[in-house]
Amino acid sequence: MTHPPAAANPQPPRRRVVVTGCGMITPLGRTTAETFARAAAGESGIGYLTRFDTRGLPCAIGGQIPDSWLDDRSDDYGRRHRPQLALCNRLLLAAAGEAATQARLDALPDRARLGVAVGAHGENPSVDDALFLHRFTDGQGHWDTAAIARSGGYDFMQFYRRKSDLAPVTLAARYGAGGPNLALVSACAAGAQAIGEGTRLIREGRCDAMLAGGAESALDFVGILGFTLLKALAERFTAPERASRPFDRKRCGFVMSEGAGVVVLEELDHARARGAAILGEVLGYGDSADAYRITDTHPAGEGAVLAMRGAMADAGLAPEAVEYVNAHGTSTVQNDVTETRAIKAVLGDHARRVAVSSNKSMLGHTIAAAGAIECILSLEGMRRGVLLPTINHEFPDPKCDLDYVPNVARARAHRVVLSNSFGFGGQNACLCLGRWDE
Amino acid sequence: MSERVVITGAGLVSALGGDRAATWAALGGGRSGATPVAGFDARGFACRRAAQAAVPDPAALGVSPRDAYIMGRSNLWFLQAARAALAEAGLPLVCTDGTVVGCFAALGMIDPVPDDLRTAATRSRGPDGAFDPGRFYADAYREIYPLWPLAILNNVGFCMAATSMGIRGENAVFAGGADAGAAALIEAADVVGAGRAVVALAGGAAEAITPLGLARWHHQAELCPGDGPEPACRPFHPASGGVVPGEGAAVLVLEREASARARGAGILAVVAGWGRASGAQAVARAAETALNGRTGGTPAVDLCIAHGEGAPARDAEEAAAYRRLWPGPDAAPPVAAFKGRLGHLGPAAPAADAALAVEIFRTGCLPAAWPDGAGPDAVPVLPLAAAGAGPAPRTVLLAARGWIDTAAAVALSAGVAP
Repeated sequence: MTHPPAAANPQPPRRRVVVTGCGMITPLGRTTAETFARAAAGESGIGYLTRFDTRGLPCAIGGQIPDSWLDDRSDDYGRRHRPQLALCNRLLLAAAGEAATQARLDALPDRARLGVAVGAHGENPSVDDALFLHRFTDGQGHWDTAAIARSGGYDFMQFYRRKSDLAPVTLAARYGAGGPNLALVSACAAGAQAIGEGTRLIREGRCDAMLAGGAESALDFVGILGFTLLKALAERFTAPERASRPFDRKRCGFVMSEGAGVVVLEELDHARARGAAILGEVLGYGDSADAYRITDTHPAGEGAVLAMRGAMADAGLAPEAVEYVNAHGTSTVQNDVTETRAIKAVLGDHARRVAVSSNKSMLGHTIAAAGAIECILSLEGMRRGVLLPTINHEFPDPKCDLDYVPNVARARAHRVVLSNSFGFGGQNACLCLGRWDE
Repeated sequence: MSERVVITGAGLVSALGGDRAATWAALGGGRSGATPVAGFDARGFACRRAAQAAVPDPAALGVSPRDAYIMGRSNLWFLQAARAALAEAGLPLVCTDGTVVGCFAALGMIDPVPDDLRTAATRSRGPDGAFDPGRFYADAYREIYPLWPLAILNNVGFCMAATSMGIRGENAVFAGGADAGAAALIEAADVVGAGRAVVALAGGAAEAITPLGLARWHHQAELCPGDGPEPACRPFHPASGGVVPGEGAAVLVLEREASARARGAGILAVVAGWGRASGAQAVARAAETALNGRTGGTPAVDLCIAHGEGAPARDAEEAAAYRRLWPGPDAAPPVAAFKGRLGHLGPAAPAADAALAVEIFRTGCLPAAWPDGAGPDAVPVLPLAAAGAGPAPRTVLLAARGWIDTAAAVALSAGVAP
């Protein structure tokens, strides 16, 4: 018995999904405008970590957001609920605030038709939390649970801060969103998947608007330790701001960052009817799984190919229509080669004429937030006619031989972008985004 | 245009059995999966009972010891249920063309296991024997198994299952409670109906009951105290003791009706509708959407398999939602709930309920909502479906609630033989 063949994909008339609000907070800026301006100037948001004692760690750098930026962006809701909010959810609220204000979401009449989709992983357990539990085990698998209970060992607020599904629920509560509520935990693909799933919900008529995006803050000991053990982080660099160097021959791993990005997605007629400014369009979405190895991406980038082809097919576009690829571009040896191969496989000869760049060269890798932040930067790039650069591109890698917009932003009008997000474990997502021309 | 989506396979692993047939037989026999917590001494917790599932043999699932460590028992249940569902659907356990097969999983939180950090912690002791963070940070952490981080990734269950079964199509991993499990089912139905996948797996896995996990359960639900043998969790009973945590997984195989018929697959059920909502009246609004508004006057369904977790306050809220949905003394369909027997399977609950709906469609039998001994004086807050055999329902509404103000509902219709 084999699986039945794929049927022709039906092409029903469908609702168009546009973006009417964007918000972000990143190591480069408190807002979308600030982040984009600094990225266009080729600045790096990477520095030495200061939030915890990093002595002894082989990687002690990251894209850390100053606490003062968050304090500036907190609203009453955020301040009131702060004890139960993980840092990633405070970042999420800040990004959503900007997006909601831009989209004039407060004036939205029917909140039952407003949904939320967020990629987030909640707060990591701290090393202290994990080691604290050793007091209650005897090494033979026996637990003194009475002592755990007496000690208050699992703090109620920690419970809330660790929950991944608190992110979309928090946004729903803040904005009275009574529609579908999705919590995605697809690692680095989660933010893009949230926007893709949100787009589909609107297309299908299950809601009229969505708050969609991602948030991550894993710049703690467990976060850094985990990727250190997996040998995924950049450990050799001359300066923190030069450590993230996607597609460069001397790249040696990614740099962890924190941040959040949120878009307001809206059905086109709904947005027009209320006079919302349209910032861009989600033309297509594709996702796939590598099904290869838990620790490695497929060497030919087959999963990435499927996701990109899926997004283009969903948008009804040929390879020649793509003018820019916002690459996943993590700065790991493996990803950047396989992604280059995948882009070539999907775009064919056209790949040589397409600009490809990685925002992570400046921002680092914001994991679940990356897909959302990069979606927004792609939309801004189309609006402003600017291709953001790949900084730290000093030593060309013969295996990475596309136009990576090295080091300096480029002025170029462009209308169609593919934005890639490939998750650890082999989950891949690609958004096809379009410039909005009235 | 979306086409009709059907269920052709349904795998279920629960405290009552390692497959759907065993679980169904045990339910019919009046058994409950709830027992005193095994595997660790739970005397410190108020709730010391759970419906715990047997751990499958990784080798029998084709899983290496290394991968079994990464997956943990929760994700092994997911793989076990997925393989059972594929086998029932008559599909290969390793996809011949994985690009047309999707997978949507709802997975719970994963806790670090102290034993994984034990050597590092021991090496971090200072001269006074106390833990010295400086020693840990400087060097001792290198004693931790390098693949330990994979074991605490939220999406590792999906990734391992996809790799094991060669699934390469559309996918997502959702987090949360039963609402996440419903989201997995809904997304899979949508992807298949729209033709973006020929086959999709949809389901979830409950979190394993561990000391830390049970501590978390105490925060996220009103648990049943004690560990006695008496029936404790009695959904919609005003004197229910509360929630009993459950273990296990459930996975469904979804495909388009035409495709299933063309290859002669047995159709276990038809996905007839779905809805999701959050905030006030989420259960009623989700159900109303699932039924396309067909709720006034007479019920559009023959049976409602409620979320019914056994916490009196939450059950009363849910009952109020159904009364709002179906006003009038005889308007509501009979209601069933299985968490009193299987425990609360969290993100696996909706697919588990769907698997049981398949059996209800097939047999026309309905197990009792409560284990034996509920007492003849029980006056539920909602009219419960009478246990026993009768005319088989043709349409069933499944309801699922998240931990916080979110809900989803899925309507299923009886399938027909090929």
